[in-house]
Amino acid sequence: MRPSNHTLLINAVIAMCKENSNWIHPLADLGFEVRLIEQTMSLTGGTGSIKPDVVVTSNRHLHALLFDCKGGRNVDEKQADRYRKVTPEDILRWIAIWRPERLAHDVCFLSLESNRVDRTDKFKDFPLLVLSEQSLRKIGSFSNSHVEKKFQQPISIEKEMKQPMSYYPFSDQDDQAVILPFVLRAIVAHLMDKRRGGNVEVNEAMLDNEEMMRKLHPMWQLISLEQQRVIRTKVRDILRTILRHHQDFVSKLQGVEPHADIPVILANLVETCEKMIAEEEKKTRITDYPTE
Amino acid sequence: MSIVAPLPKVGSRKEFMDELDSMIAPPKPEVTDTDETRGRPTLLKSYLIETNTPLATGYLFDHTTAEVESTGLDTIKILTMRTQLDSPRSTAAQFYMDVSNERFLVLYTNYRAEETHAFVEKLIDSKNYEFDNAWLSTDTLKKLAAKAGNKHYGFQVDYKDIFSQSDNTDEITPQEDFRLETTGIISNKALKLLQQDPLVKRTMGYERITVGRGTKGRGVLEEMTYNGRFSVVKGKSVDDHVILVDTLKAEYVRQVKEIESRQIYGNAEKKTVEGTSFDLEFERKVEDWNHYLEVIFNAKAPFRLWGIRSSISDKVFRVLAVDMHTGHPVDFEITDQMIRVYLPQGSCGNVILRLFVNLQRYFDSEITCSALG
Repeated sequence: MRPSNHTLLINAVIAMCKENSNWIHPLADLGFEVRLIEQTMSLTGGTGSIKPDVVVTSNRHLHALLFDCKGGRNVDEKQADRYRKVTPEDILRWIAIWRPERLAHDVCFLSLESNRVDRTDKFKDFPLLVLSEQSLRKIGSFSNSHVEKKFQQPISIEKEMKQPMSYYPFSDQDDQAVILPFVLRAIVAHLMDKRRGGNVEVNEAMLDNEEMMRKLHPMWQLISLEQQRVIRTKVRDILRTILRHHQDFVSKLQGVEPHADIPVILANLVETCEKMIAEEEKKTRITDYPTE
Repeated sequence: MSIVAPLPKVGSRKEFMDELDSMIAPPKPEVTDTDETRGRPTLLKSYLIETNTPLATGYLFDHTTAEVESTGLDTIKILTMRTQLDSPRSTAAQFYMDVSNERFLVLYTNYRAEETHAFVEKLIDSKNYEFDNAWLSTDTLKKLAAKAGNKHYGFQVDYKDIFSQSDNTDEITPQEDFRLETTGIISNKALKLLQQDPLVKRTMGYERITVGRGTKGRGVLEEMTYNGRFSVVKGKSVDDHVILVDTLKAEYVRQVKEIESRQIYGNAEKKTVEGTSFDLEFERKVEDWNHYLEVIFNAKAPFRLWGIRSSISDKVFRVLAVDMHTGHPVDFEITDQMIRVYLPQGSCGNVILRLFVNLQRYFDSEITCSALG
């Protein structure tokens, strides 16, 4: 259930836009709000497309920041070239902002100190933010003076501060081992939802229910249709595996009768869930996890 | 058991208040041999409860029925609860139910507390309906006592350390429990003295508060508990009782709405990430993480949360939980100094207050949550 580096960094950006005394919030201080997450955008001035991980905008400073969160060390040169071709029009096709004619933007790479990207000459023109347990520091420059000033000095992260990691619990790029616990929980939540009047069927048709998908991912309505399709496919595969190989989980849930002792049934279910998660984690070669 | 003296229907707010008035100042009980003919001799009690589904005309749960009837006044219903219908031990109780807020209901009754408490608990624990009691923090109770016209008269602390493993020792006396009841105008001074001790300070979550309002001739002395129960101890002013109930209800509704305004979701229309997490901070050290997480996420009262947990690093845990009150998912990140909660869209804000109030009562009464003010 530990998020990948990539997802961890997406959460870091979202959390920096939220006022919270237990996490740094330089972007919230400048009025930035999260507007898009992992949205593919076509380029007006050239062929191809970009897929920034998070786009944040500030009406106060009429500025957009396109974050590319790097879980690994490499930056694709072609990707950097495409980012250079982004225009305000490309952004404004997706989001509305006050006084759009004055919108400016920066593309910013975000990386973990423990797995910092190699800042080669190929993308030295982009600002890079490096996140460690102790600080957030900037390399390079932002075009907006307010943003530049805010990040000029490293921003200290106090020992007590813990980075939020559940605003965006997983991405379409995450492994099944990361997504599985959310599927298990969504199934339990769906079946325990008292408004549903006792429908306790666990089957693939559950995934056609938008409410079920919103229980699975809080950002479901914000993420792109393309991403929704990928996640739905991954979840379907997970559900098929559960139905085929984990009948004990299914039968424990489907066997819930109106007067059953639900806390006892659910207590027994925890162990089953944890076993399934451990098995899936063993199967997955996880290369993207933080190294501390 | 049939209802001996059924609550009369009321055609106006005045008639309703007059009925409450007769409950707060009941006639002297008749001296008879059986319970059934002894009428309703006890004092007025009220319960602040919450329902997350529209009110039905009837409920059936755990060998108990609950019927909701109209009174002729839209905002007031009569709730009749009966249990063990075919048994000689069958009991029944009636309540006036104020539904002026369809989600936050107030039940008024003068049936005996041992019966009405049990009925309300059964209603709340019923598996198929989304009822819960109100969760009133110590601060909320103190603030009520400090409001104009009210007097803080006393408090009760009933700290049970359900997180401690000391029950596993061979001691006959529970080692960590602490019970204290104090009344009188110097109780606030006593509280200040007690809070000077760092250990005692962390056990001072209120079980209930006693508040006086009005005068001896026209006023009430009232006990209010952390779970939204109000009992008139002395006095005959139904007006002052209703003022106290309504004031606390308004504050509770405000808190729940405030919490729900921070629900986390992706707003497709505005293209924004709405909401923020809640950080509950505490200083008490967690001794046994397994036990700590088990107590909070075992799906049982008082927390009513179920969850799949995982360790992220030393003393950092993530729990994917389900709120048993409504069946909504809730995400948790837990460290040795904080519990961070993410409330998704559509979930009930009561989950944050339930967690906060019960941690205050059973873990560390000094716990804080900036969002709860």
